[in-house]
Amino acid sequence: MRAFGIFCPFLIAVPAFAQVEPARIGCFIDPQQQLREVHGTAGNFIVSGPLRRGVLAAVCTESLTIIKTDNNIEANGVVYAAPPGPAAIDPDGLVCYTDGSCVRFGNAPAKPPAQDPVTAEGAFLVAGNRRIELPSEILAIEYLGPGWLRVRLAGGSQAAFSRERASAYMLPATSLAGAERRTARSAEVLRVEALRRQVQARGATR
Amino acid sequence: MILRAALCGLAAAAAMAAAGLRISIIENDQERLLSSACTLPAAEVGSIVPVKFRIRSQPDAVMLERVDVKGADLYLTMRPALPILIWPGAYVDVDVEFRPSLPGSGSGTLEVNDRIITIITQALPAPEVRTESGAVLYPAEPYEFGEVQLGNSVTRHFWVDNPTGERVTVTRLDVTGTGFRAAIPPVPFQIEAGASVPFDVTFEPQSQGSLGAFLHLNSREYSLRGTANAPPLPKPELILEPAALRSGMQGTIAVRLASAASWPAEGVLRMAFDGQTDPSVRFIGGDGRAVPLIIPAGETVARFGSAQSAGFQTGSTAGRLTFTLELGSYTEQVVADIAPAAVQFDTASAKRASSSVEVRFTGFDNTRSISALAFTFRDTAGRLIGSGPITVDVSRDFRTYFDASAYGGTFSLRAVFPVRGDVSQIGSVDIEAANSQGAARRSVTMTE
Repeated sequence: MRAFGIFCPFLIAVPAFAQVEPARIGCFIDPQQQLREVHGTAGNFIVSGPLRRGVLAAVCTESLTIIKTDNNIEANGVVYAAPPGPAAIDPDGLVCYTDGSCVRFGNAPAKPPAQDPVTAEGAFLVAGNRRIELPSEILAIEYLGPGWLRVRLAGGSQAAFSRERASAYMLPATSLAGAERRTARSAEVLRVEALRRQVQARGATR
Repeated sequence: MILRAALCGLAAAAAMAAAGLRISIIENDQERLLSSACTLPAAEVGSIVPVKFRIRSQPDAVMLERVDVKGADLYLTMRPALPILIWPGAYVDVDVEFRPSLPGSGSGTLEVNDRIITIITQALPAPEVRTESGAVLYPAEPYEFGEVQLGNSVTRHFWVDNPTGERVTVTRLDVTGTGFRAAIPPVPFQIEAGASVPFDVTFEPQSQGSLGAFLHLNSREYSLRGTANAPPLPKPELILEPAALRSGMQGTIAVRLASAASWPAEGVLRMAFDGQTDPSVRFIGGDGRAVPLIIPAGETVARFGSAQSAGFQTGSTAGRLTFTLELGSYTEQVVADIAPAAVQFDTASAKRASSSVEVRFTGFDNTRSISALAFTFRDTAGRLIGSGPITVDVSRDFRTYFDASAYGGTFSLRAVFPVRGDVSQIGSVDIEAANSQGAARRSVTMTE
């Protein structure tokens, strides 16, 4: 912790704080339903070992880590009982369960930042007017962390796309990444996501 | 002591119950009880005929103290360690081989304690295999073709001789086994007394290593052996892309041969780092520090899975990267130095709050020597706020962080600056980070 201050005619110098910590990029669920964190910087990634098992949904942001397991929801280390099954988790902290109920963790942003869509065309990642060729066919594009997307590729490899740099990088293999298969998203998950879109506007707060 | 007494008692009982031994021969997995003699099937000279006998005790336990086989061409190949107590219902097996060496009738004995079973044998005259050197092949002695380089072959001439005084019939003559082929006359055929029939066997391996095959002549089986060596590979070359590396990069490394490989080859590419521990220095695939590769026959470029190069990360620490290729007899290396550098910013943001501004940035310091940070705030018109940058000595904070960190030279820094006045007038902040290699700067526009 360090003290800083700003001096200017209309500012008063007061102490502030600075914190140095690992650079977390985000997290993802591996094919064995294990949660893994990604640290580092663009092109310089460290994928953690399994942190939780039996994870059905998860989101990691700068201030939030939300993990849904079968009967629990964990937010920044605090575990609550939750409806069984998967859930749809927004990076802003809104969690919607399969029974239709929703709950929000953390403080909702006043105005979610608008982000350009990133889509897949075969092995090409399309972001705005950029087309980035990846080593193999893109199977899915998922949220990885603030400013980052996880791109799952055929053959078991995966990439990370940086919105800030509009560039894609390969993510190092996890020991079991090669077992990843193209899997159809379950009807249950699709139903939850449709539900989430419907209720997102109303957003309960925990 | 108790055990010895028990054994002595049983031995006495066994002595009285010698007649309790039941000796059988195993034929087609069935036991055929023998009384005093057994006749083995006729076998050709030079063949090896395995015979299994089974010894049971009935109705009383029997101490088995002696098992022996006598007689020309009969060999005891396996028997239990003696003495051994055979309980009622239990049994032991005894393996014998009949290896006829001369034609004609013969006999021998199987002796079990005081029981004697006569073994009657019949050896048939048989053709034999002769090699180029004039030596006669024996089933127990493998014939060596020696070492052959993949892509080459070696052919050896053999003869089926009939050393007997009468005509013999060859009903089977073939070679079975990968890497061997034979030019052999169709069977059956007859060979007059004293005559010979030539044939050839070629060792033409398609894969590396020790290979074996069997040459069958009627009921006899001879071993053929050879060793296949891969031809030397053309010299491999390691190609880094880009050639000059620095921290925070993803690059690729390829393996190319000066000319096409005539045979497939397998190898491994390793990555070593001479510097402070940094888990982000690794290959994208494999286990991180080693990736397997293959070079298909007829190609010049190695394959890493389906890719023609292996991706890697240079990490966030200064040091020396060494890539080592182990391919066939080659061990090739390429070394790349990751030079110490100024701090590299990765992401940076600055946000206004009601009475503060928050500055966040991530990046890496590949020297792990950050000593000072300086923040220069400007108003929305770009004018300097205050008298100059706010400079902070952070050497102790970063040293503590890097000493405990498992993330190489990467870090994230969050700083909150309380503000009194109109926060909305703050337009941007210039961040400067200094380490042993100099200062790096990043300008960030304020957002809400």
